[in-house]
Amino acid sequence: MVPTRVLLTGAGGFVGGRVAHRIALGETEELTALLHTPAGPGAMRLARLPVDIEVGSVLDKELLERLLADCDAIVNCAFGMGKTSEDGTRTLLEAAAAADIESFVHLSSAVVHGHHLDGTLHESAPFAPDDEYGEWKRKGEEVIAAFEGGAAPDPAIIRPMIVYGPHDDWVTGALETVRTGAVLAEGGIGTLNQIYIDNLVDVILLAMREPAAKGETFLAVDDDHVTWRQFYRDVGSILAEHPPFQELSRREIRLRKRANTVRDSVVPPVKAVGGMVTADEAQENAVAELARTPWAVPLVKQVPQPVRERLLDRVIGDGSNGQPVKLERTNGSDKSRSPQYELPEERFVRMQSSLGSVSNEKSKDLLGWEQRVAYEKGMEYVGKWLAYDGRL
Amino acid sequence: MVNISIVGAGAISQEAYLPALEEIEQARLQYVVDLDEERAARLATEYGAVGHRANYLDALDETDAVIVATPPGSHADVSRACLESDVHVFTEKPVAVSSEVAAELVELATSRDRHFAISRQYRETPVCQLLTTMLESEALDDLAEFSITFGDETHWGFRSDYRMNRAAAGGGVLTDKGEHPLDVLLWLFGNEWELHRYCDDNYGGLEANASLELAFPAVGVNGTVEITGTRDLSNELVLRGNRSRLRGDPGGKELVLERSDTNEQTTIEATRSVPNSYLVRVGYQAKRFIDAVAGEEPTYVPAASGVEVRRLIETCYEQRQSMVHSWEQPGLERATEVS
Repeated sequence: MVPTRVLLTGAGGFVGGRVAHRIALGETEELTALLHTPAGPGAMRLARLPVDIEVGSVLDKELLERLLADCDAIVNCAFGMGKTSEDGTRTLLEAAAAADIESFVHLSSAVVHGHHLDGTLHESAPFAPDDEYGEWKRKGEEVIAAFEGGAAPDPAIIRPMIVYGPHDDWVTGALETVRTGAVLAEGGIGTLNQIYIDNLVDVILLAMREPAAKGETFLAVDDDHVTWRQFYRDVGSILAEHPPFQELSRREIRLRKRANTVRDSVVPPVKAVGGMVTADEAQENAVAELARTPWAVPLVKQVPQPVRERLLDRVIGDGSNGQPVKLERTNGSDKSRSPQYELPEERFVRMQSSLGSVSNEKSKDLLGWEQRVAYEKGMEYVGKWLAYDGRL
Repeated sequence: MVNISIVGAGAISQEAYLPALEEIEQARLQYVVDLDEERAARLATEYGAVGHRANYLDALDETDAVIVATPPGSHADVSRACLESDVHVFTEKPVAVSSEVAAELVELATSRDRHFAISRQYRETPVCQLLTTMLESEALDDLAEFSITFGDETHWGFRSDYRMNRAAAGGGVLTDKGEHPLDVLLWLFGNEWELHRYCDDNYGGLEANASLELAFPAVGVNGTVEITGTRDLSNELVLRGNRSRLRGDPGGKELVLERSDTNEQTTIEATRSVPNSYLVRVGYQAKRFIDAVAGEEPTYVPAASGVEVRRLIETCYEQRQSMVHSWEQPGLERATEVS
C-alpha cells in the first residue's frame, strides 16, 4: 500500500527531518509536516522542502483532525520528555482512528529494553527501561497497546538503539567527548548497535507501506558490527587532534563517581569554613555557602580541630587537590586546554560495556529491509557534515 | 512630539522597538497594531499606548509615523498605505520583496515629502563604522578581497510561523539574514556590483544556506559571502589586501589587523562607549527616524538604499544554482524534479 499523503510529526527533529527530506524529494507520497516551533536549524532545514508545514502541538486534537482529513498515513516522530509524549501519542491515535488512517508508524526506541544487553535482543524481550527517556518511550508504547479507539490504526512500532548521522546529537556529543578527553567504560568493548539515519528511514518507509507491518514491532539496527571504541576512534580521526582515550572499568567509574559526589558535597562547605578561618573578606561568601548546605554545618562542627585543619589543607589551596584522575597530557593537541575526562553517564557505561546485540531479522523478513549505507560511508558523511557545520 | 504606531507586534517589536520607544523622548506610542488583537491589546496596555488595532488602516488618522514590523511579504502594502495617508514610514528589512515595488515606494515617499527609512542595525556597530572610516580615509589602499560568513542556527523567538511560508517570508535565509551583510558590503563598496555565482540549498521551499561570489569593479574588490540559518558559524568579515588582512565580527567592537609579512597582529578597538547589543542598535535606528520626523536633520538609513540590496537578492534568486551536499543524497534515487 502506498499512501497518498502522510502526516509526519516531529518533523523538525533529527529523524523526522530526514523522513521529511526523503519523502519530499525521493518518494511519491505528499507530505504534511508538523513541528512544534518555527525556530531552530531543524525548522530551517524543513522549510527548504516543497511540503506543507504546520506549526503546532500533537496535543491539539482539533489541529490533528484538520490535518488528517487529507492524510491516509501517519509517521509519529514527535517526542518530548514527560507526559506530553504519552498524551500526544494518545491524542494522535484518537485523531487517527477518527480519520480512518490506514497506516501508522510510531518511532520508539530499543532503550525500552534498557541500555545493557545480554545476548541478542529480539522484539519479544520484556520492557526494562533504566532511565527516564526509556520510561517515556515505554509509556508511549503502552498507550498504543492499550488503545481501543474504534477503528484503531494499529501502529507499527520501530525501535532503534543508536541512530547516527548528520545533524545528530549523538555524533556532536561524541565529538565533544573525544575532543575534551573520552573515558571509555571497559575500554568501549560494547556493541554500538547503531543504525545510520537513512537506513532507519528505510525501515520507517517500508513499515508505512507494508500491510503486514500493522501492529508489529521492529528493532532497527545496521548489519555492521561496530564497538563503542571503534566509533569513538572514528570520531577521533575526524578531529585533527584529541587527547588519548582513558579506559576504566565499570567498578572504577563507580568508585570515582562516589568520590566526586563526596568531594562536590563536602568541599563547598568545608571551603566555606576554611574561608572563615583564613580570610576575613571570605567570611561573607563562606557564610553564604554554608547557608546553602545546612546539613554540613553540624557535620563540620563535629570534626576535631587538628583533623579539620588537615582537611582544610587538602581541599583549600590551588584547587587541584582531590582530583581523582591523573590526567595525561595530550598528544600535542590543544595545549591551551587540559583534557576534562568527564566520567560517562550511567547509560553510556552500560552501553559501552554491553556485548549484547540487537537483532534486525524481523525487519529483513517482514519488511524486506536491506542496509543501504555502510558504516564507513556513514562516518564519511558525518565527517563531511561536521566540517560544513563548522564543528571541527 | 511624534505620534508613532507599531504595525506588527511580533518578536522584534516586543524585544526591541517597544522598549526603545519608551526611551525616545520625542516619541508617543499611539497604537499597537497586530492581527492578533489580544496580543496588540496586551502590549498596548503594557507600554502605555493610546490604544490598539487589528487593522493598521484604522490607526493612520492619529499617527504621524509608523514602524513596519510585519512579516516581509506584507511590508510593501503596509508602507504604501501609510505613505499614501501621509504617514512617515520606518520599515524593517526588506523595503519590499520586489525591488521594483521598493523603488515605487521610495518615489511615493519622495512625492509625498515623507520620511522613509529602513532599519539597518549593522550600520550602528562599532566595527562597521570603523570600516567606513578606514575606507573613506583610504587607510586600506591595497584592498583586493573580502569574505563574510554570517548567520546562526535561528534560535529566534518567532511569534508566528511566517518564516515557514514563502509568501509571508519573501524568501529564505538570503532574504531573512542576507540583507544585513549585503547592505554592509554595498555601504562599504558602493552600488556597482557583479554577481559571479550564487548557490543555495532550496529544494522548492525556502533556502537555509546560501553562498555568493560578488565583485565591486568600481573599487577593484571581489569576494565571497556565506549566509546560514542552520549553523553556528562565527560571524566574520575579512578584508584582504596585498600586505595585510583586516578581520572582525560585523556586529562587534574590534578589528584585528594582520600583516602578511610578519604575521604581527594589532587589535583596533572602537572607542564608542555605547552598548553594542543588537536591540540597542535597532533602537538607535528608530530614534534617528523619529528625530528626523520631529524636525531634526535626517541621519537615518534611507529606504532607497534597500532598493539596490533587494535587486542584488533578486539577481541571486534568478541565477541560483543548487547547493548539493553528499550526505543528503542517500535514498533519493527516485527523486522528483524540484523547481
